[in-house]
Amino acid sequence: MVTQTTGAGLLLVWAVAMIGLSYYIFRRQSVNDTEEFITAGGRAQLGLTTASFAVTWMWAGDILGVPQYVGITGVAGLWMYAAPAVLSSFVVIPFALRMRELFPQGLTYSEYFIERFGNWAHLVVILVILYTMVLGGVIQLFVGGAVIGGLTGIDPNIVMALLMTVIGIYILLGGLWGSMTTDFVQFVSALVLTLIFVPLLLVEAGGPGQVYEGMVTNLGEQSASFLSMANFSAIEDLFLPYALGLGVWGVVSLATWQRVFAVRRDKTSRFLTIGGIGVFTTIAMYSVIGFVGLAAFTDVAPGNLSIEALGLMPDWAAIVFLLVALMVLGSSVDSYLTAIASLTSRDIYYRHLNTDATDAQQLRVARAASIGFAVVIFAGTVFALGSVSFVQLLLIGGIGASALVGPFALSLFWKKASETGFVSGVVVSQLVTAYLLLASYGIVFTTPTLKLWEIMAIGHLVSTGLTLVVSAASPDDFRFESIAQESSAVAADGGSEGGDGE
Amino acid sequence: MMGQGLFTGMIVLFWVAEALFGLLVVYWFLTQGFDSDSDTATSGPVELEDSSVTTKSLGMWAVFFAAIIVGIVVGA
Repeated sequence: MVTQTTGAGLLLVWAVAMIGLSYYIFRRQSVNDTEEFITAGGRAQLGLTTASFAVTWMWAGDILGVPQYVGITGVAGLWMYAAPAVLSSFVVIPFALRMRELFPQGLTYSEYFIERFGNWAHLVVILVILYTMVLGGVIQLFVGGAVIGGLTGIDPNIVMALLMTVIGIYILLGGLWGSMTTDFVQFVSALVLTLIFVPLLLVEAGGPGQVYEGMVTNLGEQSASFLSMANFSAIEDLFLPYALGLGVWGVVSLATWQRVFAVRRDKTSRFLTIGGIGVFTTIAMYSVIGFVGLAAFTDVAPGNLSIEALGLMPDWAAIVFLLVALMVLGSSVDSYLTAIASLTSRDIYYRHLNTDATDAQQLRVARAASIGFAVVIFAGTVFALGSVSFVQLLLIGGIGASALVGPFALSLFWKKASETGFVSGVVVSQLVTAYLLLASYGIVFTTPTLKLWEIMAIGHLVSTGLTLVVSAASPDDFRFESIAQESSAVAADGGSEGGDGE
Repeated sequence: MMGQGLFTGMIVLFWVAEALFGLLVVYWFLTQGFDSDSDTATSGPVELEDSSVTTKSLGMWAVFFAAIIVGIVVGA
């Protein structure tokens, strides 16, 4: 346990460091126009983008989620959690390469849907992205409030309010440059602290051999299955919903796309590959917390393994852990907030409300949105803390992806994909999955009760199938070259000449 | 059921992989910096990546997924 004073001091140091860093990058990169704010000018280098991408995918929830998976299913829990988490990075590669071929320098990927289909498709995509990104922010802040509040004794609502205020301010200053630069520092800090923290935890527990022996003793007859990587007993509850939802979430996440458009075009698949595989190693390290918990305790619920295992550590080690939580939390929330601010400015304000908006007006809207949605995420998290469990929130977070991934793929590679097919596929899929989710939790409806992975699978099948059938019945004949940005020559800084840079 | 040696080796492997990943990204950042202004201003347009780069990336993914499967089989 960390004292309230120490906790408040740590939060203050973190706040000053992140805002100071964002101010530095705001001055250094001259973040005074929309392109710099939203895509970092499309010239960010590999190291910066990979670090930002990776740490955005290192969710604060992993600190609770991985040990919980291990507590439910043993060592197999680490790959059941980590493999789907990094699957997004792999799945998004063909999407990213195709988009960067058509749109060498897009600002938000959702704008593509206007060019490809029209306003209705664009509005549908905006809705899905918006609630997906807000939900992503809520998931992170949920853990931040619970873990940091729990470790310091500070009211979780105060912790969350402080976190969102700081993140809102540094995004307001630096936009994507601010997000990626603070991400880099958070990436290095999180990795170094994890590399120190995990061995310390093992030493406190008597070493890996002692942990192994403790697991065998405590688990008794269950030890054979809990110490087997091939324990598939929980695959339907843990692996499949994660793989079908968050496993393709990166394709929908505007935060992913901002980094895809930020990195140099010739580094696109490289940063997704190294970043994705690297995230696996980090998530795998968190499983050690679960192993130690299983070795030390016999009657702790899986969801409490993290906190109980951390109780074995001296106070100063809890401070190290708290810092890891702060770093991975800040990096993800700031990414989603930047994404929402970009979406509000470009997709909603510029594309639909004020098509004559100047760059300065768009930038003002983006900055206002970064503060406005910080408030929305905070309010959503306060509501969620008293209403749903963390794992429910985590797994439901992937539901939006099930509606969009298939139709998006068809729109990119199939010229007959039509707006009617796309819109009906996405909308009907979301309605069906929403109904099935409500019925499964007994809210308003009571039947049918399906497993979460079945709901996700139905969502994918409905969205992709309907887009295919409706488009086949009423096909488009789209010429992709008509939306390829006019100048095939890309500017020296990686941006496109004559692009949409007003 | 995995043995004690394999269990310990797995944790060590994760630690080493994590450290190497961090070092690689920091190395990239230290050698490349924030952005590519100075590099690309003289060398001209940045083209989409070559297919050989994509193939290498996909190759890395193939090795990664194969390693997970091998890990599940060996650690069964």
